[in-house]
Amino acid sequence: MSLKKLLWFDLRRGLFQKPLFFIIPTLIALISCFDLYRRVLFVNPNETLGIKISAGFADFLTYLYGGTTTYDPYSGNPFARWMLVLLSVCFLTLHYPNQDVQTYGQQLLIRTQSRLAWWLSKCIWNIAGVLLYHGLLILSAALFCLLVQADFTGGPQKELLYHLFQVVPEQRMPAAAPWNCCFIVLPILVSLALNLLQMTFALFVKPILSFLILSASMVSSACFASPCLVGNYAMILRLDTVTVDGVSIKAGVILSLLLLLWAVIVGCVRFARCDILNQD
Amino acid sequence: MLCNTMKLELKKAICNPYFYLTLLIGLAITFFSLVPSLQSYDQDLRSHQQFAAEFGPRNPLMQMETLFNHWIGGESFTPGSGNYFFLFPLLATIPYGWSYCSESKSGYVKSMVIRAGKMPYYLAKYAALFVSGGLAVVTPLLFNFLLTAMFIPAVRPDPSYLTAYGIGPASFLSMLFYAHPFLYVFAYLLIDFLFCGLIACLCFTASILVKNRVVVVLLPFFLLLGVHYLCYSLLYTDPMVIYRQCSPMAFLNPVPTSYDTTWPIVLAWGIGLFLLTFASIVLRGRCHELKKTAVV
Amino acid sequence: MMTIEVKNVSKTIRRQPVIQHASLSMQSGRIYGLQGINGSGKTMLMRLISGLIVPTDGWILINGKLLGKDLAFPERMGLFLENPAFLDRYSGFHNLKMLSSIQNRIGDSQIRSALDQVGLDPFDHKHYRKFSLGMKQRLGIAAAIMEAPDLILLDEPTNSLDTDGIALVKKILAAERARGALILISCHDFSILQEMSDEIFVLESGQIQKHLHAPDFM
Repeated sequence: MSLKKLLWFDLRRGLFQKPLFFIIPTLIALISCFDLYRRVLFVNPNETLGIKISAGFADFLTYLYGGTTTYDPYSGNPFARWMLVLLSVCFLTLHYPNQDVQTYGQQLLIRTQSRLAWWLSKCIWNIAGVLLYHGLLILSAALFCLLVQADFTGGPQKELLYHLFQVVPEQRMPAAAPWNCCFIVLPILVSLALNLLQMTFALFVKPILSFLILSASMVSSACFASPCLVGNYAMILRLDTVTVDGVSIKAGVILSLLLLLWAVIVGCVRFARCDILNQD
Repeated sequence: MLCNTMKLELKKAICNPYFYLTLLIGLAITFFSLVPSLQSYDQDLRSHQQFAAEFGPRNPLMQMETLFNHWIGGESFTPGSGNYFFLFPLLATIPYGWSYCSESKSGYVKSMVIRAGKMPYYLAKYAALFVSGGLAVVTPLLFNFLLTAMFIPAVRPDPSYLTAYGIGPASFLSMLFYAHPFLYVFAYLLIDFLFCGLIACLCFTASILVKNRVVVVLLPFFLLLGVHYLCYSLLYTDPMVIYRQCSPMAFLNPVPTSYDTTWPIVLAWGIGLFLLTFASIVLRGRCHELKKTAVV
Repeated sequence: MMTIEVKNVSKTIRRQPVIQHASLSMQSGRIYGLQGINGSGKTMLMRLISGLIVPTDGWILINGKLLGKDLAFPERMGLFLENPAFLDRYSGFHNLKMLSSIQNRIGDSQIRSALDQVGLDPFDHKHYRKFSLGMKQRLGIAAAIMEAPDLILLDEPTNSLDTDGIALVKKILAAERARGALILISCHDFSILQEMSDEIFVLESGQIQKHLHAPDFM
């Protein structure tokens, strides 16, 4: 019962009363969609093997979560977009738990009588926040598609996206399974794991350092196409069904779930014994 | 009065654990970026020797393997370089960006203002922010440059091998790079120092709008990342056009990425950031009231 | 009937001992005072008893249950720590109502009565951010007493209160004692504690130096 109430407080104060949670994903999605829409206008049909060159809903989504095949500082756009998509939500979920436990949350905590309930409530709040963020990204992309009357039915168009992301032919995966929108589930799952990890790290170090650690791991993921760096699974272009030498989707799902679970359990153990002091 | 306040603020800015920690992180990133850089240098030398052994003497291409394209600011292939030139706004703001927000929350500003005066306090705060931001970013760069210089000779770059440096004839300060490479490095370190100082000062402007110090420290980073993304998504749209680099996140890297920048753009950004940050200091200095909230 | 036993508790924060070998026992229906200069460890001892921080050594028993193991926080506790924090955009009543909704033990009338007791207008719609320091302090005390808790921990409750406010606090504490609550109050002003407490623990550098009973310090 107390968990339910605590969660309601968290959702209300840490999510619904934070306008940035709504503004930032909407802006990012609209700008990205507009960017893709404009880029598609410049695509020469010969470069996409004559396949129709108007982007559909699935293309807009893939564009948002595409990432980069290899880290290339000379192609700033995909890297910046991917970082912006994934780091903005980390920024949005960074401060609330820490601020809560040092202020009003202390009164809630002693009334709920359970540190576990507090931590679980924060975990669910975090998951809800990340899902809301990505949900709004998708919803805004859908809204944009409605505005430009884009196609909602088809899957991502391989050739168009390979071309837009400048994937060299040697890296392109020969036609196998068709692409579908399920690809975006993995980046969202990774995003969930990263945000929970950030919240757990913030129990050990200052929130800002927790954010710094996460950002560095993301940049490193972009630099190294290694299956050990979780950021790789958050890039559709690094998946083994999309590019040669890509990372396995299955491994990504398992790793994300393991990290997610690890973050929840370690955070729970840590919070059960940590001192609650008023230190901003 | 101003002098004493300045001394105090500078001491607070430089002698604090956040500054040390940021410096340590910066030094660690720049130190570890040296390893792949040296590896690539070594690999190039070996392959050259192998070629020479197999096919006889050949042009040693000495100018291609130089300090100026192997230090962190001269290459863009190592993760260290990627990390550093992406995270530098954070490295500039973490050391002292939170200070005004914290001090205004705790009421410390009041006790400083009544002792030092409004303008001296705010000017000292500006100077301290500026110096801490600049030093936190530039010191690791300088460290990496000196460290790399211990292993790789500082051969003067030759324009014939410009692809090895990534600095073309239209690049920013390219004449300086080929004529006086040390001056080029020094000039870039100075530009980075000035910009990172100004980026740190953005925290003061953010503190006026936001009362949360985590947000205050992160805001300049997201602002620059946002500008970077906007440049690439809304400005650089036509693949056939060679644009000018407008994003500070890109042009503060001594190796031009994607597009070259120009003096007017760098100057415009510098002046814009200075006016924005300095105006908030001046406005705060003039309009500051010694009570935080209306108490009725 | 509530009993608290603090047995040989020590707390070290960043290698700095803040509480050293503190032992004390307390029971319902009495007011206990913690006296000491700034930095003597009063707030830390309060935080230890409230369960917000965990002892490095020793243990705290609440009604025979080990704090931190058998229970995370003392049951039915009202807590007021320095600089109370509430939600800026809500009124005093609304803030308390939200807090009370967690346990759902009291209704609007009790909340209004608590506000009235501390001298705040229960029907005032003014937002918390517009409260003066004294009003914030009073609201914090109201939050600590509104649910008629068995244990009340008050850290420097008289700070930023005027003489009327201090008199009100004294009156409230006397009423809570009469109700049977165990009250632990910290204050650096010995004369205030003298008036209110049944027993006083004097803290110095994190150690309990003296334990005075009512007739001794009068």
